[in-house]
Amino acid sequence: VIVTIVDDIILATQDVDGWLARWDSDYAPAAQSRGLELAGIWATGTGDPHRSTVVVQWRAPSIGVFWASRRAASADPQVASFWEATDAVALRRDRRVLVPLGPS
Amino acid sequence: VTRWVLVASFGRASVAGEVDDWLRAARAVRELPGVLSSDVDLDLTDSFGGGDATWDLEVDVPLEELPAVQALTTPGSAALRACERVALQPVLTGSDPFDGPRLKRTLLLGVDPSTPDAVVEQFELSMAAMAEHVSAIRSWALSRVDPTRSTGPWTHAWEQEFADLDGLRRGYLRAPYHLTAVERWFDHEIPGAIVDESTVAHLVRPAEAAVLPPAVGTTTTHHDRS
Repeated sequence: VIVTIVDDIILATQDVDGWLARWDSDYAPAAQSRGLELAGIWATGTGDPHRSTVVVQWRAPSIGVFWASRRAASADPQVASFWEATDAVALRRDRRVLVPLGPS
Repeated sequence: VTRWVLVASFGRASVAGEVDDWLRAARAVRELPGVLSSDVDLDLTDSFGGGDATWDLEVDVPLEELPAVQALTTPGSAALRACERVALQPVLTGSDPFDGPRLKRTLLLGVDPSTPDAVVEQFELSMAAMAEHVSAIRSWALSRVDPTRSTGPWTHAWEQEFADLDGLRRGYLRAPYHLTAVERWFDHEIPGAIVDESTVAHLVRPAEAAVLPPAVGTTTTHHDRS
């Protein structure tokens, strides 16, 4: 079973580049080393010209990798400090964990 | 009547015989006046965050009135290095009786004390609903921990019985509801998580028969096993 993890981060448009640089250096490489695969990262409008939503989609190739990644992330203080810095600029944020519907 | 979860840790230098003696003495407690049920065994290696053995004890007298329990839970006795005493206040329970050996799983956890009551109640409903979503869960109980009588950092105990280890490892840990709904309360990468991840003990041990009491006046779960 592939587990999909989707982050939705709403930022002031002027903060997107700075956040992305930090995500690129401080979060993404470590997430990949925990076994997650990056499916994509996108930006989309919110209806407010000064706000953008960044959508990040990760994939854990198995439930075992999902749990191993969870354990590793919870033990890594850099993960907590990354989200703390994100929450200092994010206007809203959510993460959803998705599993496939139907037979797997 | 109080149901207790006692989490025993043995010293590294304890020899197997000392641990066996402690287990034998703890099992003998079930014969004492004031003890309604008592079941104890060593935790399996799947466990983490707790001790070495989990002892489920139901009594209708204060623990202080049971000298044998006092002695067996006081560090310094032959094998015992530490023992946490967790007094349970049931919130929701479900009963799905079956005969024979089983696994008793206890998850002790600590919710951030600044969490509003309404959120804690939502968390409790979310946890208890696992029994509806995970058919491998047989009897179960979600309890708050009475802080005035307990040691350790725990605020809640989430207990289940499984027919076998596969029910826990596959049925429970791989359940979509677990990953997508319940884990939100634990995962601090998700806004709104309230469980301190450093305050989680996952305790799994074998039991020869039912450990959790029958549900009375609360939720009863009946899974369709056809």
